[in-house]
Amino acid sequence: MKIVCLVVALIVGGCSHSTTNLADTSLQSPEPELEDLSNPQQALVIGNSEYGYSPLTNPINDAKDMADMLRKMGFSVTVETNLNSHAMNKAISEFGQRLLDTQAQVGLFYFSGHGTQHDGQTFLLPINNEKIQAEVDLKQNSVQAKAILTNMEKAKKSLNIVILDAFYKNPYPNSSENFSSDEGGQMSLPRGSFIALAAAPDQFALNASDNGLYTTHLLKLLEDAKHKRVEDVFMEAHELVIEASHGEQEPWYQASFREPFCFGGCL
Amino acid sequence: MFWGLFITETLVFNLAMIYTSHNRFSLLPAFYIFCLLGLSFQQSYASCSLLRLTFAEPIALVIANSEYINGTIRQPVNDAIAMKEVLEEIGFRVIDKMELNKRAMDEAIIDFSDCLRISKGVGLFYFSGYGMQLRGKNYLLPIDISIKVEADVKYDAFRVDKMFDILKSAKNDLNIIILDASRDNPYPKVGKKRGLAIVSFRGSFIAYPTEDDKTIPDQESQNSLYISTLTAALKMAVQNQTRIQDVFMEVANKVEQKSGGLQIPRYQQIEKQKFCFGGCKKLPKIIDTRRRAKLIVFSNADGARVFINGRFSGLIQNGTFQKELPVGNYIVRVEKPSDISDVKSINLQKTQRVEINLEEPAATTQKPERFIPFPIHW
Repeated sequence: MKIVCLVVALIVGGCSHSTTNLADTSLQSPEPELEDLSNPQQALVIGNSEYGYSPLTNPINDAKDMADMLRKMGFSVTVETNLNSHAMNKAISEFGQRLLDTQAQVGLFYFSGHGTQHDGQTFLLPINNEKIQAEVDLKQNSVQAKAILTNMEKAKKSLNIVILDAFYKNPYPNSSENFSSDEGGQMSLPRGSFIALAAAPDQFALNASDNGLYTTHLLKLLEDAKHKRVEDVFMEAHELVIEASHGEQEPWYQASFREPFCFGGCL
Repeated sequence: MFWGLFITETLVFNLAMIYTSHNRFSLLPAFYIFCLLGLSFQQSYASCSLLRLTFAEPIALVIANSEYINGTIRQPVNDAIAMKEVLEEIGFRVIDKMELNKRAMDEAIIDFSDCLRISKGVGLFYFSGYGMQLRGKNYLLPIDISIKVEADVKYDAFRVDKMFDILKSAKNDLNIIILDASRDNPYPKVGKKRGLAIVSFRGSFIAYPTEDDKTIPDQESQNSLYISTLTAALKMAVQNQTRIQDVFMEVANKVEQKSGGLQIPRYQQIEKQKFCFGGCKKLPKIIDTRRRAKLIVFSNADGARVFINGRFSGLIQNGTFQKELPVGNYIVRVEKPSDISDVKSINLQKTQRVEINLEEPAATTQKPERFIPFPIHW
């Protein structure tokens, strides 16, 4: 009897101990949902809507929908919305670290918001874009698409996927035109990466179209992407976007694979 | 002559119609269109040098420039011959040209485009020689070029964009463009970058022997490493009905390996639809006709997350979680947010109950065991 009492007491004690532990950890990390770090597919999704200059409505929804879809497809997803330049850089470097720490095989980055091209480079704009008044401000206050890929590349995963639905006209205050440059050329991809843009690189400055068109079509196709090759899904999405925009918006992708990649494994 | 005939014919037709019928106007436009179409067909297809093209026949243009006024390189001719042979073997009609000046390059590409406009088949352009990039644009060098300043490249070299513009009029589905021109060259350096730039053009698959902004030193061998690997891969591709990106992916992997990582071929694909050498295999549509069975997970950990084959599938509610799945092997993991988890491997054949209870860790924090899930089924 005594022993039983002792056992009960121990269990109760243990329980109360562990609950305090749980409370502690939940206090430390503000995010209640823990990411599944053992998942071979890790994703970071960023949606920027509340821009200081020229706010947008769609990106937050795009980001949330994309995150849901990626989870359905088996990715572990972190969603971040309305990030300033500091937060954006932090989220990206944390994601790089996560890829490095885990046994993930596939890293996926999705961004919806303002973007621009300069000197043949693609830049993603944080919500404090009112700071960007001149070309010199751009590098300091934005995130280079190349930097994201470099960050993901460090982890040496078999495939890094970058999807950028950043496609807007004139996202800066006090400037009538996008900063343009003659020194064109496209981003050079490290091996084992795939990058998809909502519009062809040289179209960034030319076209204004509904945001969401790209993500909408992409989401529809991802729904049925099981065992399909990543480039086929995007190829199909791109044809749909071109058709829907009557040729105004031409999505673009570049791939450099070491081996074929299909969502959910190739058959 | 044709127009004279056309006008008299219409007049006769007109007069005849006035006498015979009242609804002559409805027939006239059709006749006009017929005549105009005949005329335009005659003009636009005049210049294709390949005879008896059939519909959807693939066409290749192979150009080798080796006898440059600044020096001769041997490999391009050998490579072009090797490419021509393998392309003919795999069913391409080949236009081969050697030692072209700028004007001849222009003419060759217009000829190529005109032939493609007739056949509407896949086009393949192969250039072997010197190339340069200037401000993100690629240029192929004609044999008679002399370069002193940047403008010489801009105005006297063949700009690859021009080819894209010409090929647009062919309105075929896919053009494979192989720019084998990233060589060390004897010309003075203009612009900031060496080698070629990666460019894209819708409806095309563009391949380069190495990475952008890089050049390949002269090789002693009969054929370059890139072309000997590519020709071998193309022969295999037709037999195995391999997709174009897989062919070039394999070439990249092999050349990277053989060159000790010094040369990594690149490609840029913006196709409109998938293309396989020798035609794509028809994949049977996958319908999961396997029997389905119910998996019931019991657990003491309410609210814990259930992962099947590493995929989040739901939460433990009221001590259970159930899901219908096709029969097969699964790995089931129940995980609490506090990182406590347990895994069971099951062979699901009929309704199966599995119990995964989670125990709270002892006072000493023990690192939970991780496992790497691998997908067996979706």
